[in-house]
Amino acid sequence: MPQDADIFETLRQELRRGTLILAVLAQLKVERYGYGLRQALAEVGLEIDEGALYPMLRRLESQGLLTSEWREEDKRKKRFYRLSSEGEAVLARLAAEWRAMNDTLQNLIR
Amino acid sequence: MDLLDRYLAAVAALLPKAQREDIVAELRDILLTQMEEKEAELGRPLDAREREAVLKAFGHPIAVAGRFGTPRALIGPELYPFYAFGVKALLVVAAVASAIPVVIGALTDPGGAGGGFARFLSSFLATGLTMIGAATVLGAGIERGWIPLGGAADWRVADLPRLDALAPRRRGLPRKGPRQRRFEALLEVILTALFILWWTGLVPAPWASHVANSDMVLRPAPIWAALYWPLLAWAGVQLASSLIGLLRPGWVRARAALEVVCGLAGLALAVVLWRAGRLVVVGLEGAGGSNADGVAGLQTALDLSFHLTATVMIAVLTIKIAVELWRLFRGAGPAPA
Repeated sequence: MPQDADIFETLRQELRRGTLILAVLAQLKVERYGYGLRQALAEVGLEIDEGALYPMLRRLESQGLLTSEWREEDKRKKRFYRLSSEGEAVLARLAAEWRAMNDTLQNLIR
Repeated sequence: MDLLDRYLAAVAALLPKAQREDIVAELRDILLTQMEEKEAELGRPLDAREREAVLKAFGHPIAVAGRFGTPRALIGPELYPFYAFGVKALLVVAAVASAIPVVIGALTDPGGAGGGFARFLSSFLATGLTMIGAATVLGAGIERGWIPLGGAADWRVADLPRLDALAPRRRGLPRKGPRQRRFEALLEVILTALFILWWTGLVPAPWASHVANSDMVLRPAPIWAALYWPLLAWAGVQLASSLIGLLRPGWVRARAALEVVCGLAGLALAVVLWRAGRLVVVGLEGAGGSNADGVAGLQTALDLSFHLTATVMIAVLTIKIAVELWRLFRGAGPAPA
């Protein structure tokens, strides 16, 4: 039988899963490579596991929401990601959805 | 080849060919960056054990490659309840199909019943695991769209069985629940299918033809040869009716109509058998005639018992036809509120 802490952790991860995509899209208004993106998210308090981040970036790219290119930086080739025009439109819609949900939930959990 | 190359080669071997080079290049950059960060933190180059620790922390190659593949369960959450229901039903089928020959064997030859449980277990494990394997392959095929469901995935509320699980229990006889009805239909399917397989000679009869501890043998009477096709047709209609009860329990009238047909056919067959009088001929193994009294006694007893059985069958089938006719006409009306 799952313990309270396990239940909480499962629910917390479910809650975070959707919001992480929004955070990643928002951070990629500026071009970043994977590791730099992870650091940027960590600096604002959103730790994300590498095992989840890189496959997510590839999935978002295959969905047309991101573009990427290989470039050399610090004497090493790195893959840089940024929002595509389609990604910007989706981010705007998701952000509006997030604000509406946030307002509703704020009233509910007050 | 250093540890990093070895690790990346293991991941690469599991990646889709089209993306392999690209993903490995990115992973190499990520891992080298991590190692450099660690070196900056320690103020010295990493030794082999520390490099290995970085790679190990990143994850097993199978897990890392799996994250880049299409995430897909063998049987997804949408399909799983149907899969689990199917597996349970198949296990019941396997248990019943494994038990029937053992039970019949024990009844006809009590002396050889010693290894009955072992035979049942062996047959049940082999049949059950094969059925689960087949159901899993089928489920995985449906999950991936290799097996199109088409109209089979469609369902109607009106096709659901009229169950009384939520209705208050009436006084007197308790009504049958959904599991009980389904189980009965399942049992009918298994028994009828086994009968057809035996009748057509596809599987051998699970009972012995010679009488235990004697030289007497039982042979079918000539009447059975004349009834071969009528009995096969009767079993076919019964199988269709049972399958409706199992798979489309909401088709109350269709099943009742088939049951009436089966009942009438069964009644006609019972009358023919009653008139024939002798259903089994008792004989002696070999050419010996030393047990003529025993043969005559057993023949009389069997004739009498079969005659009585046919009489009871006629009575039971008449009642059954009446019940099914009532159900046929009640089925046309609206469901009780």
